[in-house]
Amino acid sequence: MGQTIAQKIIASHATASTVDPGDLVDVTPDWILANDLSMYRGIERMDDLGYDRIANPEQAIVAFDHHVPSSDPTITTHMNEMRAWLDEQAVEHFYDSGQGILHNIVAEEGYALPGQLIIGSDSHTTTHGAFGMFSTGISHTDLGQALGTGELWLKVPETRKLVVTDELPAGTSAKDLGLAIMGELTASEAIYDAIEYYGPGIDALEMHERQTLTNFAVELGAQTGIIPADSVTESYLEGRARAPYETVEADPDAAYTTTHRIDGSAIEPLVAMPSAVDNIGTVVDNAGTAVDQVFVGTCNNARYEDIRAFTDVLGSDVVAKHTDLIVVPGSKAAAKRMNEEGITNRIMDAGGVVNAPGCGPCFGAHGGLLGEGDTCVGTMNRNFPGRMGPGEIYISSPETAAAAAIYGEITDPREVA
Amino acid sequence: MYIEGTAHVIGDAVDTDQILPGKYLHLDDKAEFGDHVLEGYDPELPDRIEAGDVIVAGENLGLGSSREAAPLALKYAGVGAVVAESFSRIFYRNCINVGLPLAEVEGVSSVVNDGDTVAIDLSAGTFTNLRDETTLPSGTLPPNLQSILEAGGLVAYRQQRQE
Repeated sequence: MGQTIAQKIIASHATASTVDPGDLVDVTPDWILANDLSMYRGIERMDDLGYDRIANPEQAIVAFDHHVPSSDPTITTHMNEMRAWLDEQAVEHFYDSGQGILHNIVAEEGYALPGQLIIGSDSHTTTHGAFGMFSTGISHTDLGQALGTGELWLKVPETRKLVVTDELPAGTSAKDLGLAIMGELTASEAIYDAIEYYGPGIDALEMHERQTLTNFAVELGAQTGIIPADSVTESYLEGRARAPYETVEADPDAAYTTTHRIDGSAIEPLVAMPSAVDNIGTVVDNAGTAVDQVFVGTCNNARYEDIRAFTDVLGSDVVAKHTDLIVVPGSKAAAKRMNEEGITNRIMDAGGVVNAPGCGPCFGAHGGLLGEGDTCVGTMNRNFPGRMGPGEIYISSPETAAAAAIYGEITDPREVA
Repeated sequence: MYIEGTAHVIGDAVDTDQILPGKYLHLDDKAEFGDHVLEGYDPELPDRIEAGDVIVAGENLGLGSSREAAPLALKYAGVGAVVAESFSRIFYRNCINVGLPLAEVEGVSSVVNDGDTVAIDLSAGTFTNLRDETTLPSGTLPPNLQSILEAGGLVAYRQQRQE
């Protein structure tokens, strides 16, 4: 029986010739990722587990992105302790506050390459599957174990095939496709599985759009979401890749448990309504819902191109009178390009706030939390109850967020002239 | 491994933000996580959950953020086991790693009421509602993961192996 991409990549990182779904396999990842929240706990767990040193410091990539800037003296102390520890452990791939979101940095700095296996102590580590690799999230004990030994066990997943049959229509984005997939597969159908994405609707997507899709893989319950590398991937990596790489393809007779087909040409602007990621509705059906805050940010949808898509719809309009606009660029590179092209000024002139690159308010600790009864339209990936304070969240594309900012209510971005 | 306790029934898709909200993640004393367990699902639950109780959940328990603080909050609140129709992947790993007994039991949410006394026999792979003796099969773990759970988590497992 042929092997899927997920099986091949796990096998190659476990020095096995083939692996089967359900096998528990020790793998040696190319990279082990951590952020400021998970690294602090990971250090504690390494100590608990009895590991003094990171087995391979060059395997680790750490970025401070959650509490940026620190919102609490205890957190500041934790960050200082971590900086000293990372220094002592000779971790060279360390990105301090202000450099951006871990996942954005891993992509932009050319770490993420086809054929790799990445584990990261952040659930949205699935993002890197956009590069034709196996990339999955873990948490603190696993992080301690992986850093201490250089290895970790994974369960080989079953693989589903997801085919997007046509290109997306004008006025829609990869986020709308991602939300459509959420509606189709729900948050629980693909638990533990790998998803491989194929079809003309996928081939036509640029790398920033592909990362929006694979970032959502964890919200589908999947272990990983893989978009096979192609000429789009190669062109993004030209002059950026830190090492040579080899792309991995599935065998023609690879075993998929299910094939899902999505008609890309039928995609329209969508939202995930409060308060579940798979509670999908159309923007048209939700039009008129009053919006207190618009948030453009997160590892799902705050790359330079995403924010430019937002300001392209915003145009020369200003933000509605009773609506707040918060924009948090995903990386320093994105923020600098926004500055150079006048995008930051445009947002500020419209009445918006532009914050330091990082996760922003998405994980519910600082930087724009919602009040009781507030409604947010945002470009994030999660809208769980209470996620960002007591208010409610509609997840949308940057384009739909811009239309909501202009009118102070959910509005079809295709109708914004 | 056998656990018996009073059931607290929660719904489908209870995510880790509801199990432990993000604003508590930096707490220095991890035992304090337990004071806020499931606060995002029902603010009264931290007061109602007592040592040895069992959480009975629906589909996809623990989806969302990877935070290990979520199963730790359940553990520090004294929860004896978590039973669900299905578990999210990272939460499942985390339960094993922190030594929080868990059982995947199809159909469990329709046979248990709040306050029932339930029993989980992880070795035999059975779940029983002691109120009416309804018994359902529960999944069993691969032997090496079962050993980690029985030791009380990966830290305790490694310590035992070194002794």
